[in-house]
Amino acid sequence: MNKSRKHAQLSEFWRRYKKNKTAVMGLILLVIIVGMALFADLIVPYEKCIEQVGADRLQGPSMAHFFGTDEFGRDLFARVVHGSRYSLLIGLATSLMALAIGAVLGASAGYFGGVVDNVISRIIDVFMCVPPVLLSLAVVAALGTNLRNLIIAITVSCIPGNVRLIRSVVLTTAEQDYVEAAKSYGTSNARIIFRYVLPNAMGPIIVNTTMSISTMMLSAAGLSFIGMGIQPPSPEWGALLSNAQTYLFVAPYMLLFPGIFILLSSMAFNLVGDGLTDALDPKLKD
Amino acid sequence: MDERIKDEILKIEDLSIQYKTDLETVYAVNGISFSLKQGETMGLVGETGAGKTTTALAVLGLLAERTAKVTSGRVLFEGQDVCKMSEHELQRLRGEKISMIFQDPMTALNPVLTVGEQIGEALYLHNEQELSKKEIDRKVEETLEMVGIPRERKSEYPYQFSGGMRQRVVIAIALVCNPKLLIADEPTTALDVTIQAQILTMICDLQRKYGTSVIMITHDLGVVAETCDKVGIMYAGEIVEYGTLADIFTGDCHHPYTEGLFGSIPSLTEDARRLHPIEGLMPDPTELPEGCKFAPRCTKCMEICKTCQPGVWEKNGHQIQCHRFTENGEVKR
Repeated sequence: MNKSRKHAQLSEFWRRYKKNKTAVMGLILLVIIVGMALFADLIVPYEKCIEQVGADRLQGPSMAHFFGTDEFGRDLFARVVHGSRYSLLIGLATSLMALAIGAVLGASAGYFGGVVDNVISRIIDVFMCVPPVLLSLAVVAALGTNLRNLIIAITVSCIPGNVRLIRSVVLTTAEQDYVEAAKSYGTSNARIIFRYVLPNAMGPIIVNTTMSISTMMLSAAGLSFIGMGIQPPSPEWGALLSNAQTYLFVAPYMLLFPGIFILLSSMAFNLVGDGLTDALDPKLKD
Repeated sequence: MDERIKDEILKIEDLSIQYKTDLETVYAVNGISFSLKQGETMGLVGETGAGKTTTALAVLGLLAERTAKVTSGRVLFEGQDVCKMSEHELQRLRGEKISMIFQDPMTALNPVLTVGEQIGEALYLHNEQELSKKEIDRKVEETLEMVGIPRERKSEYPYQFSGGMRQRVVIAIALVCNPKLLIADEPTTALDVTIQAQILTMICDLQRKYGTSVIMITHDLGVVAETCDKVGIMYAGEIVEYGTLADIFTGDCHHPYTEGLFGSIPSLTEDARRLHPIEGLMPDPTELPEGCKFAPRCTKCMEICKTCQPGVWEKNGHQIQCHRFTENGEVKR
């Protein structure tokens, strides 16, 4: 009984999501990119990423090397395919972590108000004064450069914005009558936050999170670009770009392909995010 | 005597509540007292801003923590002071023993939970008999049918219901735990007249069935006449007249404000061109008049009314707070 209801809800959700053609396109794109990351080893073995062939240096795209080769003769197609793993991992991990921390801090600030709100908001204000890139740089500089620290650094830079956004939507949602009604039948504060306030404030939060996945991927690419992110020889899209700038005039394709993939994947996340908000909002149901 | 105390479920003594902000102090409720026995219905009548809802929220311990302050008095529910309870005790009280029907059914339901989930919520929170999921489910269905909604609709969302149906859901939520005291805060104000009668009849039927006490907050004297045993007329945070339904509707002695309220009901038989409102507005609750709060609007205002707070005249439980009936605490006439 319960299962069939869940099932009915899902198909209802899918029916509404389907209506939005651009969102479906974004989803297809996203599935392709995620599939590429998951099955990277089947598409092209990792060895191809690091295998240096002196004779094949700076080759343009061809049947042997779809995206050409770099200055060490490494296959760029293999590097882009395997690079998707890093980029997606960083984008998803940072966004979800920042969402979780932002939801707890922002919701408590907005819901409880008073001293709690003041303490959280003032600390966030301090963090907001520092440009996000600088904040990430500082964290990486303090912790050292590796994948884990990169994720921490980008998460930290993303938290303040999340807290502010969630606090503001929670502020308006917590004013609603049904929250007071919930209190009147003895619901605890934590339960009210997670069952009444946050689900009703979900729309802007979901959009923000999906959009932030692409922003996070870009800032990871940015950090790698200036050499503070993923270290060579690991292939990451930003690192590939950074590497390519030296050969901008001799081998522009080196810049083109990683760039296209960064663009496509952030576009995919944005489109899916838009589609999700429309489909998830019960007030927009027809 | 003991018996009387036992079935006295709610007793409010000299309750005063203020809303304090940096700029001003709002005197919302000023020393009201009343009591309610098991199974009784008490009507609280008054204009907007008379302090009716503030009183109700105080009974539930739901006053806004930062601004509202209980400056004097006690709210005794089953002999325990609600104002002194911890948050945890209050959470156990709310929903299980006291519950509230909210004014606007369009906003009182959570749009992202199905109505069944929302009705089950109070049961789940106060699950003392350790009901299983299935039993809760069955109880939810029973409650839905009780308020006249087919049980199949429990997995629907609030937006799929009309206003009247939503108010039924709100009532179902309030009643699912069989509370001892039900506070109905203008339960029919947001509904159209045909639905009003249905909802009121339903509340009365359910009350009789379960012996629930009800505080009916309203500004509609018609609703009071239909449902209540006792009536308190509130003005500017005070109960200016208090008595049984008969005292208020058919008694001889009345507070001038009560007379004004009845006078402003349009008559069906009289051919009047204009309605008869009570002249003037409620006093600003941040700056209440010194003497009788109603003096500035009163047609029978005397010199003493402007400077001196009137005492309470009482006859067989019928109480009136007016100088016309008292002098130095003694009954005139």
